[in-house]
Amino acid sequence: MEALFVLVPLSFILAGTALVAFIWATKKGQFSDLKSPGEQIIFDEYEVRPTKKIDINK
Amino acid sequence: MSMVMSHSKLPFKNIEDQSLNKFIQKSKCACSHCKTEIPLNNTTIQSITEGETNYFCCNGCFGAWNIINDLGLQSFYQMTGDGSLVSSLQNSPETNENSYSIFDSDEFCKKFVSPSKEGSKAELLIEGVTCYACIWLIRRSVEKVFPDVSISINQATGCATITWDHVATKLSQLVKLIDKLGYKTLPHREGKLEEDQGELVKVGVALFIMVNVMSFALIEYLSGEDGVQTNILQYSRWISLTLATVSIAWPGRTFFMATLRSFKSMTPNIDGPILLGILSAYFFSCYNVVMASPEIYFDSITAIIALVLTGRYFQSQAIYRNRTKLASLIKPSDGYILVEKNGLYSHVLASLIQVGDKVKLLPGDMLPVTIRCSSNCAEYSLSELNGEPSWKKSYADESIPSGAVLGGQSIEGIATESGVKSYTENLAKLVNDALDKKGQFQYWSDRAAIGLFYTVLTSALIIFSLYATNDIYEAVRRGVAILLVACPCTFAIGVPLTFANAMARALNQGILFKSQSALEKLARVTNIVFDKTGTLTKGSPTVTESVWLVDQNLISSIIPILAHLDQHSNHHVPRSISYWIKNDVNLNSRLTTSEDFAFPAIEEIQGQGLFFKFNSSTYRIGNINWIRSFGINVETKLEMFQIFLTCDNALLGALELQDEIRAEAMDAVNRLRSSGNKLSILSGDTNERTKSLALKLDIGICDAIGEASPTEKAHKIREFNSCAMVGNGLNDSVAMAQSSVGIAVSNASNPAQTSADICILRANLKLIDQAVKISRACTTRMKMAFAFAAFYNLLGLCFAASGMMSPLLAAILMPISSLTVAKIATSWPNDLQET
Repeated sequence: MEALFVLVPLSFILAGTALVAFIWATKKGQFSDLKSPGEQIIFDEYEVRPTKKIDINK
Repeated sequence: MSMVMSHSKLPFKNIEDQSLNKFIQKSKCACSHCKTEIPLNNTTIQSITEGETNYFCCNGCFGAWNIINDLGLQSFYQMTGDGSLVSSLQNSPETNENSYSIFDSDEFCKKFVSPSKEGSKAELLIEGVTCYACIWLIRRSVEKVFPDVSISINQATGCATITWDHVATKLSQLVKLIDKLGYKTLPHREGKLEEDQGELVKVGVALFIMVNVMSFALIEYLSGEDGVQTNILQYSRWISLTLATVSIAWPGRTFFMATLRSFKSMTPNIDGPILLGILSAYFFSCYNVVMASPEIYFDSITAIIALVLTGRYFQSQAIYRNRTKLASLIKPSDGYILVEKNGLYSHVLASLIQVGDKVKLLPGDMLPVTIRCSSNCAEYSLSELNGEPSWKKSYADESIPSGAVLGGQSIEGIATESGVKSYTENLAKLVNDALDKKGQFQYWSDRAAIGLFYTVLTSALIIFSLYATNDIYEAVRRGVAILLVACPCTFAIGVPLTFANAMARALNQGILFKSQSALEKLARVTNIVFDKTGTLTKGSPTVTESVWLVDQNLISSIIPILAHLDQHSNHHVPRSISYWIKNDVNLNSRLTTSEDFAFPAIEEIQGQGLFFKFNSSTYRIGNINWIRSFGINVETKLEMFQIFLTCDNALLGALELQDEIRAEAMDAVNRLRSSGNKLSILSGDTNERTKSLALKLDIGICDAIGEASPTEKAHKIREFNSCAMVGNGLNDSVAMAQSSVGIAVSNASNPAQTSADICILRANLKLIDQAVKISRACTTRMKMAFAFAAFYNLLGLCFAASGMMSPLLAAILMPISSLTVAKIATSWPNDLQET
């Protein structure tokens, strides 16, 4: 049973890391748009042709 | 600016010089940008690149296609398939440079731009973003034209965050690019993102602590039987205590703040009772940890905090999503407004109107700012502001408040407040309105929770005083057990979660409930009243027949005026006349192309017709009764026609307009009837037409009322008990505000969408039935959750008072009851699942 005195703090360090990662991800906006990143993968395969210089004022 | 006139400015090649064979074979083609089918004639816009001919339905599409092609983003068209996505985009009205340059103005920067590490940062609400293809197009285009600008677009809300270098790039250029692609942009300052992330972190932390404390509680429960060593037990208890303290201090701070607010405003809320339960249990448990006596409640405490916060998070997410949809649907000030500068009218973003600007508003427009009217005798309605169903008159030099809806004439005036001020105030008002309308369930749930709290407090005190003389510890134990077990967290979870779930489901299907009370009210509705034109019918009548009683040369002189009626009225009849003339081969050849054609002032009489003076004669276009009221004789054989044209006292001609019934109307009506609703039609059209439509849809003839003016509609509506008014136009908006629930269909005008409680976002009338079903299911779930919460709390109270409430029982009951309520709130009948 004495192992608990070591294992519990260890588990807290582990879980605490996960919690910090979660907070970090939230602050970075990882959860603010759950829809488009999934669809983005499908659209990345569309090749982009070489471009001309354009002037949007015309 | 008419299509025909503006062609000459664009570098397109005309039809004669190439592909003559193709032209002969094909009489119809699809627009290369939006894939709309268009007739192929000598006015069709064309572009020939690399031997391939592309056709366009309008200059907007041509411009967008040009940009996409020049940027090498043609694969956009592969993504969008048949173009049904692109056709939902609207091309901006002809804007001139001024309307963009305001995006760089100091006033705009002050209001909407904030500094950031990379330079400047602004949020824009982009309308028309429907799928990732749109985001792809906007992002790639911006990346290519402005390499130093970073743009991220949230698909769910359509909100774009833009970071750019203020010196190197001008925001106006960026907005212009997005505009030309066919999307509309509105400035948007929400600041919601950071707040939102903060809430999510709190929920995460609370859940994290809950799970950990529960696993430590296991040691406590096992300790009775196989004799866990005392030092291990105490060790785990101290850990639980530490974690619970963190939970109360960090995520639980919300309860402290809310309780403080309720004390300040002297209005009891649900957070106070919850906080009392939490704190009493916490201090009792702390005492037990220090004294090493049994019974700790840390697991229950952390579970309450975590579950209540989770429920509220989902609720605020659902409300936020609805609100962003709402903001893009009903802009507080409607997008672009005509503003005069140096004698020319140009479209300017309403929020950028400045004090002293001369503005022009069309019939049916909602005033974006307070103006001092310079036209004589303007008719307007304040129904949006105070629900008053009458039309008011204003004379020159009087002021008309923002939010008023114009009647049948266009007016000019001077803005007396700036658009930005009015915009921000209106947005805040819109948001607050949605928040305030909490609805009866929320109200009763809050009342019940508070009532319960007083009962619990009293019984806790009675139990306490009964035992206090014998055993003070036992007295405290029972009192705390009561406070904890009867903590109204089931109420706090049930109602928000049910609403959040119903609103989110409805929105996914294309139904926007503006408030919780709209959901509740719709569930009680038994009468459904439809408007006819534009609601049950497609609302874009086409001229199917025309009779001219005089020589056509006489009419030629007014043809250009008729073709421009759509610029002076938002009503569907003048619009369809304009459309007819522009698209009729015989008539459009007579359109004058000279720019200095003097257009007369056109005045509109609500529900009757319009008139103008031209070449010293008065021309009238209107319905038969109105025409006859001027003593003009209409022959019996012409009575079947709908619209008549007169010049002074002579009848020039008559037009027949037909409006198709929406394809799904029959099905929708049947569904609504079978779910137990009584249906009626209330229309401004003639009795005869209204009744014939009623016959087609199997609605009782007596329930079809025609020839109702907007004010009459509002009066009729009040005769019904609990009815829903389904409408689309300005003439329905007052009636919609008067009914229990107003429902605006997909193509509704801005005033109708504003006064409605529910907006249908897709062109499908069947969604009304779906909305009714969702609201009823929601109410049932609410009642179940309510009954369960009450039952659980009373049961817990009995157990705790009799002293049978062990910490084990409390710890098990607390999360189980909350989860049961959550399950009730989120389980839905199969036929209401998303399709």
